Amino acid sequence: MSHHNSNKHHLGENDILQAMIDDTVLSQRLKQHLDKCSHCRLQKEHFEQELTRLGQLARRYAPKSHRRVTIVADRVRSPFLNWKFASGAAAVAAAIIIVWATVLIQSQPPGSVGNLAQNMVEAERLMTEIDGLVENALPPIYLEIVGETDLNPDEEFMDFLIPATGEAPRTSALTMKGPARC
Amino acid sequence: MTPTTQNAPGPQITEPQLTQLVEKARDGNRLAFDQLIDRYQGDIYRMIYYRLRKQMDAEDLTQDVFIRAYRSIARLREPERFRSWLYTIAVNRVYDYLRKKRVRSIFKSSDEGPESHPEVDQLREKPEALEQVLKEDFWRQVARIAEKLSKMESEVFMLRFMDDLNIAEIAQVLKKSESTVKTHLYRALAKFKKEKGLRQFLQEDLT
Repeated sequence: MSHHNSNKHHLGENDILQAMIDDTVLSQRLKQHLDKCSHCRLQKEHFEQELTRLGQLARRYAPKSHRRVTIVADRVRSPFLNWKFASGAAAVAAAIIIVWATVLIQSQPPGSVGNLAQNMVEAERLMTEIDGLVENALPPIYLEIVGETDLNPDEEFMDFLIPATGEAPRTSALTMKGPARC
Repeated sequence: MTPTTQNAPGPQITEPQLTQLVEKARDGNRLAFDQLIDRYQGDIYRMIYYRLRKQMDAEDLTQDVFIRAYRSIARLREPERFRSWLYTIAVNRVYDYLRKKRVRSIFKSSDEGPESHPEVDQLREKPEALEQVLKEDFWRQVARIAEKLSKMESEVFMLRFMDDLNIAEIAQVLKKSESTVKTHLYRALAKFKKEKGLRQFLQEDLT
């Protein structure tokens, strides 16, 4: 799209745009004209300068970034989090446990049932001891000091040692928020 | 007018060096990927900022772009296309962001626009006030021209003249043919030529 001016076929506005984007689409005649005509060349160069300046100003007027991009290793998907890997690992672990348990049971000596009964007796004795401690954890020497030699001290003494939970401690009213109650 | 990657700020890397770095990064070399970050972080940050004009969000998205790139670089088949591949991720992230922002704006009475500086009058008294006013005027003019272009025209125009990508790279980023890119660019330039405000701004700056 060119126009006639002083016996010269100057490039039209659209030709200038075409030349800027891709000058191979221009006809041979227009290309030759552009090479020789300073007027058309200046027009094209001036428009190109404007666009170059646009890019330069955009860079200049964009605020500087103060943050450095960091790639944190754990933010990258680990192969260990892959569900296929996890399910495979779980299957292998289960197989190892089964094999280990089977070998362990088979390696037990024939008299191991007797050992089991002895262990149960010891466990029962231990539980009885624990029950006694739950009832009264004071060693016998302390029970003698307080004059309580049996393992079941009277209720009054226990109330003295450990007040019943139903009774509010005397200090509670002091720590309560809000108006004091009589 | 052929843009070169040499115009862009950041450590200069030759094409063969870049290809080598991408290949190393693709094989899991963290140091090589860090060098790629050094080279392209500024470009990607600015590219995102041009579209959002919010510094914090641009920084967040830049971080996200590189994390995504790191996760998927092993799948990059052509190392020489790293730059356009990175811009593709960035363009997609920007679109995602803008889409989410649009959805959020439905539920909010008002959504924040680009960062603005209402205290311009106060700034006028400071030595850097003129620069600040020019900056604001520039981005206002850019926003005005962007409004007059279609989405594709605007994207092609920005990638070409603000992000300094060539036609082939833009075609790769937007997954369009080069002739389609040229058509959109031609239309964008025709509209830009009629936009007196920004052109006057640029012409004044040139003189």
